[in-house]
Amino acid sequence: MNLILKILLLSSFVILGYSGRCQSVLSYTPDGSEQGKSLKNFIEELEGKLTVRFYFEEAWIEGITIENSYAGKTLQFMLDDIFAVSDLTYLEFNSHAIVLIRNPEPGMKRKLIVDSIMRRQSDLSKVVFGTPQSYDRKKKIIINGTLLDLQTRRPLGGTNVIVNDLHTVSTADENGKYTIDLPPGEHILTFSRVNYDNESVVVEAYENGKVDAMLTESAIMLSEVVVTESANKEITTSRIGLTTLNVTDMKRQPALLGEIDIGRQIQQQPGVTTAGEASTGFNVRGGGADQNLIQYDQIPIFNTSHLFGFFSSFNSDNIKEATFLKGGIPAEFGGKVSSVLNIKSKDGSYEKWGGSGGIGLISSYLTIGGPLRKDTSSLSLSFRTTYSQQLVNSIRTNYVDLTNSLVKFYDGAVKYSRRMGKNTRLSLSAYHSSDQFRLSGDSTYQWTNWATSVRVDHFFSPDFSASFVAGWGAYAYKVTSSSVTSGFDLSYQNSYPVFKTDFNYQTERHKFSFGLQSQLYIFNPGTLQPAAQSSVKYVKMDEQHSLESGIYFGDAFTLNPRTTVEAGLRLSIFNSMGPANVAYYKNGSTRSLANIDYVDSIRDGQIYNTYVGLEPRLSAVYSIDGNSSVKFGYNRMYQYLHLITNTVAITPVDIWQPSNPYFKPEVADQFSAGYFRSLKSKKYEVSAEVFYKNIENILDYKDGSKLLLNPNLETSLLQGRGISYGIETSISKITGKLTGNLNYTYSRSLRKISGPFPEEKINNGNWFPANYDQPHIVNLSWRLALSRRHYFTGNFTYHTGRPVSIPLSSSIVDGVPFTNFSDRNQYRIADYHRLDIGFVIEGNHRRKKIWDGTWTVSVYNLYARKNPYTVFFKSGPDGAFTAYQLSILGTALPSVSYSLKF
Amino acid sequence: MRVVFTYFLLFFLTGGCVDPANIKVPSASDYLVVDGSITDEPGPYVVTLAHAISLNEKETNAVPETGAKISIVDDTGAEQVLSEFTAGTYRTINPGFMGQAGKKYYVKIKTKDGREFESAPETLQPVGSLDSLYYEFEYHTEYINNKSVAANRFRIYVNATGLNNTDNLIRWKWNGTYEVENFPQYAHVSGGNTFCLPRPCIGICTPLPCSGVTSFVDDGVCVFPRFAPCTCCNCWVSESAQTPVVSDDQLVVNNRFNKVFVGTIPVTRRAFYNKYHVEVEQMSLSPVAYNFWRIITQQKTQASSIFQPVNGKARGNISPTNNSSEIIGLFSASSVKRKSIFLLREFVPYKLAPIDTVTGSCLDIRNAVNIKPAFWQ
Repeated sequence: MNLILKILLLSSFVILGYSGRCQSVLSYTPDGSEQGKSLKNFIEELEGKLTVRFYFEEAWIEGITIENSYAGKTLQFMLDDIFAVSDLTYLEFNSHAIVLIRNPEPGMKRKLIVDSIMRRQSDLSKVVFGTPQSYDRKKKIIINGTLLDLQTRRPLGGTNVIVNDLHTVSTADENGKYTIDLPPGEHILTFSRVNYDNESVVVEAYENGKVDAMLTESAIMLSEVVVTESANKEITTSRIGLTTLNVTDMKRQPALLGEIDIGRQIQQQPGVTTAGEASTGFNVRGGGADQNLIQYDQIPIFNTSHLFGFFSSFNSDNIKEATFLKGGIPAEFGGKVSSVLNIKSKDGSYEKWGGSGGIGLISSYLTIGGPLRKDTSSLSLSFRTTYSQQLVNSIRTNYVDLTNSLVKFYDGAVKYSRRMGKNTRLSLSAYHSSDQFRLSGDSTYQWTNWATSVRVDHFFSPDFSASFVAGWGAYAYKVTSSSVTSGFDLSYQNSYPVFKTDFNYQTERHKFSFGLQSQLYIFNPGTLQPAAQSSVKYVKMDEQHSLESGIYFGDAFTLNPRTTVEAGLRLSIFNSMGPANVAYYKNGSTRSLANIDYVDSIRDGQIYNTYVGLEPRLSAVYSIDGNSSVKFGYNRMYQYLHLITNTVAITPVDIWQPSNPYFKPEVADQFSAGYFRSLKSKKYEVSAEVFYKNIENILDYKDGSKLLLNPNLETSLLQGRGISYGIETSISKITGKLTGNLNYTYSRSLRKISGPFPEEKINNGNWFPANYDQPHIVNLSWRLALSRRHYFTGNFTYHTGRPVSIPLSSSIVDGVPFTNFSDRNQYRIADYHRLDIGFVIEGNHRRKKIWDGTWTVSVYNLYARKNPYTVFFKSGPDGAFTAYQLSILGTALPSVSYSLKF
Repeated sequence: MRVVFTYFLLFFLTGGCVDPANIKVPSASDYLVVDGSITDEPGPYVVTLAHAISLNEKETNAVPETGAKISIVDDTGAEQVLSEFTAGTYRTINPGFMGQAGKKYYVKIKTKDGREFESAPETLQPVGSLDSLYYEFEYHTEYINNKSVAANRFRIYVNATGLNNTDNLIRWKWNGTYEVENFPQYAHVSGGNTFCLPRPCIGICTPLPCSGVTSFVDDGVCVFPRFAPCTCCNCWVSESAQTPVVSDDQLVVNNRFNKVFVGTIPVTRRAFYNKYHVEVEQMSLSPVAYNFWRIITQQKTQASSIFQPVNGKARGNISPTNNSSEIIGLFSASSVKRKSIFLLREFVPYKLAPIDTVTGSCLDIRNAVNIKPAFWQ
């Protein structure tokens, strides 16, 4: 019999195609007498009654009893029903032979998974819901639960819930709640989340059930955990264009001057470029650096750089989670057209005090947190400061006398969290960053960010929750010139109270989210205060008041077991409010001061301009099989705040301008689609993603325009259209001693600025490359485990040189020599490439020790490539004109840093 | 006021550096450059026609475009013809022709190969008054080849009054003149910067013919018998602003421009050998001309910004009428007001070294003449 079975099994694929062609024994109708009999007896009876033979191993059906009466149903229905809760299935052969087949795969697979989990996790618990008998064929089995941080008891939204044997994944919502459907039987669930240890559980389910879990934040040294949790990340996250940044990985990459930086981590992502070395600003899929929404605990941050952009202003030790979205952006985010970087700060532990810190060449940082009242309230504090001042003063240079110079920056954050009863949680968060920069006898630049918020999370029921955020943010800069004859203080400030409320409601198949968000912007676009003896004149620009509001609704649902869809709609409204003076220009003439027709004075609080934007969002994932999926994303986004700049990177003296009658909101439509696949049992992952983005009302400056302290900015700026498109490909090795990622992006970013008048056109109204159009981008990063504690890491970056307008020739008019520039962005600086390497030594892996320490030795720009940052023009002593290129980092930069966790 | 980032700190921190950029650029010789103006001051008015200067070339003088036919046309259609008096430099020949405020003017150019160009008509706007011209002395240090060098200077300011109901688009330009003394009689046989010493006579003096002397040695002393007056010993060198200064309409209060910084005059022992004459011209501008100068101002002040500099394209107001050649330049119509002062050697608050001994002809100095200007007392 066994032999026959095997033969039959092997040929089953052929047979399958023939079943059901003639009168089938499966259409036989039982009479109800089968109820209560064992399956074995029933089969024997049937073989006596009909010309049918059943082939099977007796052990398989031992213990299977027919619980129900199948009178009036077919044999086929009956067998399907009985076998639904077993590994068994059957084939019909020539209408009168039924071969029972036991599929060995799920069992073997489960064993493999269990074995692999047991290697990392000492115990694997099992929960059972119902019995095979209690399984109701008409219903799906729904398992839900809540995922919390073991220490802080905060919900872990975004955690992946992986059903290992089925290769399905769903994601927990904001409140850490998840819902999955399972076929009956035994399954292994793994809860996986960046920076946390995986937690697995065996679930044998025949009825609905609830599985809650608490995850433990990973200790840095357990590299295996980190590696495993990133497996499945691309293929199984339900959203296109989403990356969750891993702080542990970040710490293992070589860093510029030993400073771990989230900005640089983002620049490694496919489709992301940067203007150059001295900029933490980044360009996502052909968007400007101002088109990224960067939020810290729900409050937008305007300037995210320290030391002119060499480092980002977030202490990476204080980041609990950073989510980066570049496509298929959900409806809860709005206000910027390119990407979202959502940073959540760390909570203090509710259990015990601990912390982490580090010492680098430029700065030191410390984060500590712990309970104020155990299990009730906690506090987290973090601070980072530089001592580059001492470094600067100690250096003798030929360029400039630096004894009177000043380089200072610091950032700090405080967070208080408190549980108020079972269903309510309160948190207060405050963040501040500050920079000061002065060279001998030069101007002093200062800039600061503030972000404070109060957040209440409340569960009305296990399925319905809400969060309320009230906050306030501010960004200010000041330039002080101490010159006797032309001294001044130039100050600029934005402040923005924020109110947000978000609701989440979930049913078996749907996760609804909806909410209301509102931000009031109070901009002071510039005050120029002359020093006592100065010839500078006092200027104070009018304050600008505007209100940005958004209301949104989203639904994430499972269309079918292979397809998950998230659809949303956001309505955004932007009101410009008085007091204001709005200039109107003569009809049929270009906007210039000479053509002002009249100026309208708007009284305080009066709304004088309103824009409304309807922003549909959609993202979908179709899982082809357990190892591959296709994803799609569409989003339309409105941006009402514009960065007014004529430089490529974000600088501290740039101005943010709210939309008004002249500056229409930027509107971006983005389509993206991708194919994702894992190979060799998830050892490798490959992906390819294409995107097309259209941005209307993109801003560009007129040549020679004045941007600072200009009350009629509309005379200096132009609006036009931008498009970008490209393909991003990536291959990662996820497991093993050597892990890494290689990605290549081809993309273009073009603009067209074509107003009705010649001075309102750039390059005669033709398409031209945007400042950050870099067609070819290659990123390679790797980590080689030399032992359990030693790693050799590195990354290589290449991208096409940025487009520039260059001096072509020179001329003299009225005794003044000047340069004739090419059309805008018609030439390119040399290509950018750089190799960084690092050597990481982690502390010993014993669980019980006072602290974990990690040494990182790295060399940035190993082969000392002089990557050009800009090209400029200098007139030599004999009047000869030469084009020069400035490289900011022209040498290999070694550094050592030490970080610890206790 | 200038908000520009200096990158020195970044340099030493990071090994940053500046190297010549190797970007291939097309030859500039196809670009024609027009430089001309008409004012409400007596003529002749000059238009120069030259080719743009290619970068990275040793030659820094523009190649003139000769043989063109140029005329200035007013809004009545009346045409004033210009004639070429040196290569590429054309000037009006009618001595009675003078620009008038309120009238429009444009220039018509026809090159010898038949290409025609015209400027946009510019209205000659009145310019208000130039009320005062004054200076401040400033101690200043510059960094040249990584060395700090004293570069003290006079800062020049004006106060001016604009006109009501106009845009007050104004450009201020300073012109400087100073006297130098050269010593062509001490020219050494070996040339260069070496010179002979007359007493005791060391080296072989070979006076330049323009010095008006010959030389021989008598009893160990160099003797210089004169046969003609020296025509290359004393010269008046003129220079002018290299960076344009235009009005900033945001910084004007009740049409009064107070303490407008016009430029700096470096204090050197040559420029202040005797005294330094500074004249400031205040010129009205049309919106197009204003924009042209404004772009150039930005080029000059932001060229070395660490962040991407502004790359304004100063195209001016000339365009081709029968061809598609590239042309750059400006023909402006301006009202002009002037004021001048002398900066005396004594104004420098320390003792200046005497002038150095240069044995070449003073006429070899760029923009030098040997005829004392009328304003030089």
